[in-house]
Formats: sequence, C-alpha cells, structure tokens
Amino acid sequence: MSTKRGAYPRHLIRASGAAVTVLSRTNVKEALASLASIRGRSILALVGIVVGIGSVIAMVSTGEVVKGEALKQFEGLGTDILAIRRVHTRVRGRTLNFSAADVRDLVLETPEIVAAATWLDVGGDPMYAGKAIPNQPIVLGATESLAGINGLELAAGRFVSHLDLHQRFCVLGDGVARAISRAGAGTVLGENIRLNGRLYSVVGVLRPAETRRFGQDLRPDDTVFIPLEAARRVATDTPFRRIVARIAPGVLPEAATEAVVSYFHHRVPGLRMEVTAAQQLIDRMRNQGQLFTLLLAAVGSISLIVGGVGVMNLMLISVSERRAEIGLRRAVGARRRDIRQQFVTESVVLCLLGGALGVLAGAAASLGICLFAGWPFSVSVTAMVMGVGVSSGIGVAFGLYPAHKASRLEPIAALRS
Amino acid sequence: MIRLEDIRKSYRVGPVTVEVLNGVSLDVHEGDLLSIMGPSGCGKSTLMNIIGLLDRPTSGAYFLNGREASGMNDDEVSAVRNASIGFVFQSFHLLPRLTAAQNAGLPLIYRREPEGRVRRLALEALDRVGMADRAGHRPNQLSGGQQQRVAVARAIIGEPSVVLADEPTGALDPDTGAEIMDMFERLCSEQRMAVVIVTHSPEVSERCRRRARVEDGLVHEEGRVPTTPDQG
Repeated sequence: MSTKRGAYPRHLIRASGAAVTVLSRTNVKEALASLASIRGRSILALVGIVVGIGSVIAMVSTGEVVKGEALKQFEGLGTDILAIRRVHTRVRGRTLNFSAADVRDLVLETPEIVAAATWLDVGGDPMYAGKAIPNQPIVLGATESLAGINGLELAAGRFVSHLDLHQRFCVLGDGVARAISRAGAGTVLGENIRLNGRLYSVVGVLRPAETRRFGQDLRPDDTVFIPLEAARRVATDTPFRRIVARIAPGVLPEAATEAVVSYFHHRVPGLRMEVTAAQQLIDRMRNQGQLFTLLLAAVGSISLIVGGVGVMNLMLISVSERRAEIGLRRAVGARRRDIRQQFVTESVVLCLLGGALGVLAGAAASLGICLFAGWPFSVSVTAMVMGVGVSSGIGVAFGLYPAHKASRLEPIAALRS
Repeated sequence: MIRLEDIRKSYRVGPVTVEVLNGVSLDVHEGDLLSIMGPSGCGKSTLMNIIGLLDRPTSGAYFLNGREASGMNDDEVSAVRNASIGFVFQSFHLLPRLTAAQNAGLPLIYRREPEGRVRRLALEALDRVGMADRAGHRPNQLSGGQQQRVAVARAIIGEPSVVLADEPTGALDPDTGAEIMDMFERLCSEQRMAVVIVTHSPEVSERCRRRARVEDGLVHEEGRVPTTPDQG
C-alpha cells in the first residue's frame, strides 16, 4: 500500500527529468504531427499560454522602461546628493533656524561634504519694460554653489556670487531670458528687471536645464536668481528651509548623513534637521520598481496557470480520445515510460510553441506601448528567456498528469475502446 | 515454446467472483497454426490476452520461450511483448496519422532502432505481405484487407515467436479473409512462427492444423488434423 502511494511522485520526478532529455527527434516529430491533426483545438489551448507569456513579457518590459524613466531624473542629478530639511522647531517662543553662515561652515567643518547650498524664495512678480514677465518666474536668492551642485551651465555672463553681497544683479533662466527677448530686449545681458520696485541688472543667462525635484523643486528655466545677500534684504522674514549638499567622493551616504546631523546638533542646539540621501531614495525607488515588476509578473502568471489548465484539458481529451492508440502502442512493446514521454513531449512542444508566440506577442505589445507613450523601446531579454523556460515548465507540469494517466491505462481496456 | 500450466483467471464483479478460465493447460510449438473457438464470453479473449501478456492469470504458470511470466515487472513484460509477440486485431488498430510503413515499423521504434533501419525493415515487412507499393498510404486510403495486411506486417516485423490474431478476418469479406489465412499459413511453414487465431468462423478454423475450443473455462483440443498450406 505504502509502496504504491510512494510510486506516484517517483514517477512524476522521473518523468519530469526525462521530459527534458527525451525530446528526441522522433518524439518531437510525432508530437508535432499529432498536434497538427487537431490544429484547431491546439490553437485554442495555446491562447492561454500565448496571452500569459505575452502579458508577462509586456508587463515586465514596460515596467522596466517606466522604472528607468523615473530613475533617470534622479540619476541625472547625481547619486551623491543629500537633501537637508529644517524640521520646524520652537524653543521658548523662538523658532530655531540655520543661517547662510551655518551652511558655508558646513562645508568647511564637515569633510564628508564638499559643497552645500541654501536658497531663499523671495516671491513677487518680476517685470520687464513695465510688464510682468509671462509664466510668473520664481525669484530665488542663491549662491554659486547652488549652480555648481545642480550643474547649471551659463549661456552668457556669469552666475550670481557671494561676492555680489547685496548688489542688485540677477541671472535669468533660459525660459525667462527668452520671454524678455521676445518682449524686445536685444542682448539680454545688461537689461534691467524690476522686482519689488527695484531694478536688477542681468549679469548672466543660463542654458536650458532640467527640472530638479530632489530636495529642491528647482525649475531653473523659469527662475530669476539674485544674490543671496540681496534676497535676504528684500525678504527679511522669510526663513531658510532647505539645503542641498554634495557628498565627498568615496563617502557613504549614511556616513555623510550622520556627519550633517551631528554638525547641526552642535551648531544650533535644539534644531532638528532631516537628511535624505539621493542614493537611498534611488534605492528605494528601484526596490519599489522591482516590487511593481514582480507584481505585474505575478498577475501575468495567473493567466499562465489558466493557460496551463487549458493545455492540461487538451491533453486529457487527447488521452481519452487516443485510448486505442495507447493500448496498441503498449501491445507492441511501449513501456509505461514511453507513453508518458510521448504525451509529456506533446504537451511541452505545444507549450513551447505557445511560449514562442507569446514572446513575439509580448515584444510586439511592449513596442506598441513604448511607441504610444513615447518611451525608448526595450524588451526584457531575461523575461523572454524566462518566458520560454516557464512555458516548457508549464508543458511538463500540466502535461504530467494527463501523461501519467495515459501511461496507467491497462492495454486490454484501452484496446477494447 | 509456449506452455500454459493450470491457468486460472477470475474477475471480481461486485461481491461475485466470476471464474473465466478454470485450469487451462496448453502447449504451442513453433510452426503451429492453432485456432481457438468457443461461444462469446467463454474466455477465449481472456486466454489470448494472457498468452499475449496483456493480462495476468490469477494462478497457474505461463512459460514463454522458457521464461516464467508471472515474475516479470511491467517493463519486462513490455520488452517481451515487443520481442516475442505479434498482435493482429479484428479492427486492425492502425494509427490513422501514420503511413503504412510507419505503422508497420512501430514495434521497432520501441526497440530504439535507428530511423533508417526501421524504415528499411518496414518496407521489407510490407513487401512480405504484398503491400510494398502502398508504403506511403495512410490507413484511410487503404481497403480493409489492405489494412489488415499492414497490421500483419506490423505483427511480424520484429520476428516474434508467436502471432496472436483476434478475429483477424472478422471485418473482411471471405476472399480477403482467405488471403489473410494464406499469409498466416506461410508464416507458419516458412518462418516457423506460431500463429494462434481466435475466431468464430469455422472456415478459418478448418484451415488450422490444431483446433481448440474453450468451454466452461477449459480448453479442449481436437485431434491434430494434418494439412498442407495449399489445402482447403
């Protein structure tokens, strides 16, 4: 009794191993012929596999593309950036904050940090030639380190400098420069921008630059930069809120974070600073992306299981329709193992066909999605290889039971039918 | 070559045990042409299945070429069927997807013979049954008699010791049936194979040198009637 019960899994194990090695030419040829003879049904049974493999490949590929697009923004900024945010803290009725000098000294006193910048949002509508500049540019008080950390490049002139102190100079983002040049300025350099009733002369114009979100919400194209000291004078009550810093080469983000926290702990006792490393954020995003991809793959796998059940159903029908054939093959000397291999081969061949079609369908679908969304097309080779592997696995897994059933048929009973 | 000793076979149908074979003893020698007759349900098919190793007796001993069959496992039984026994059925049992040559060559596939050799031997076997010119035809392109010839080719391709034929002429007209019987006679006299035929037909039985009847689960053999292949 116990041996009989134990025999079943042993057969399964043996058959699953053998199914791979015994894709002999004769077997495969016979399988193809037999599947071709029930073409219509084979195709129907394949739909599940094709859709399953296809959707997994399309989903995984698209997921990778989306992940890549999302990461690009962050990685463009560099992975060595820290975003530092003041946590609003009041001590004995007074709000604690850091100063521009604290930021300057952060670089001098913390070897883990090579550059740091803070900025001040001045507000107000800058005007040119008596009219408001379109798109409502932002006015920021800044230093040259902000340009350095963000890799802002100049099209003409120079950036504002801490040496400008409170002189009324300004540097225009590409969008702002275009706007005033449309409004009649010949060379933008040297023109005057009116801000809160005072004139600021343009000393520099930036090249077009990407929006920086990480820790800054900086849109350089639509920004007017003025010297930080000058901004301080205009916006006297506006507190500093944030700092961006660049980590020294070779220093781990965790170590730099700790150094910054400890610096402010000593510098402004009681002030709490929240530090986020770009690398950590990127890692987190990447992990989330992986999870997302996995989720998509799991959803696709469900349709694969449905496909597998379709194949199993086809094989079960095939076995019961071919009882006479099975009986005859047994009569002329086929062992149970031969019968099992014949049917597993058939199921594997069927699923491989489905897998191949699925890979094509999946690649075509992701091409379509990428074209539609305007993303760069790429298809996950891993997913394609896995698709073919998984489909042959499904062939074995869902073919074993019907094949096992076929092999257990008694030859006389099978021949009588 | 074949020796049955006190073979019994019973089936359990619900609570009732039905005795089909009740102690059958029988010898078949090479070159024998033996017919087995008997009313429907008398157990002649069961006897055939036991001789053909498709079924196992409840008790008794069965020797095939000196080997006792009851101790063999399923793989060994399959190998012995493949090597020593050829089957011919009333309904031919050809595989519809395969050509005549592929059908005839089927037993050799399970001997792991190389493809080219299988094909060559299949053509030879078809030639022996006069079907060489139909090698590429599928069963549905052949008449009943032609199909049965292909089935005979399949039965003899592996040079078995014994060919077991279950109503081989049952689905054929008398003339075609007679041709099949001619072939069996030649196999016995020329190839020294043994042929055992289960039949209802007195004409078929009359052409066999040995005749047996199964009645009440026992085999009664008539006295040997000497015949030559071209008689009857």
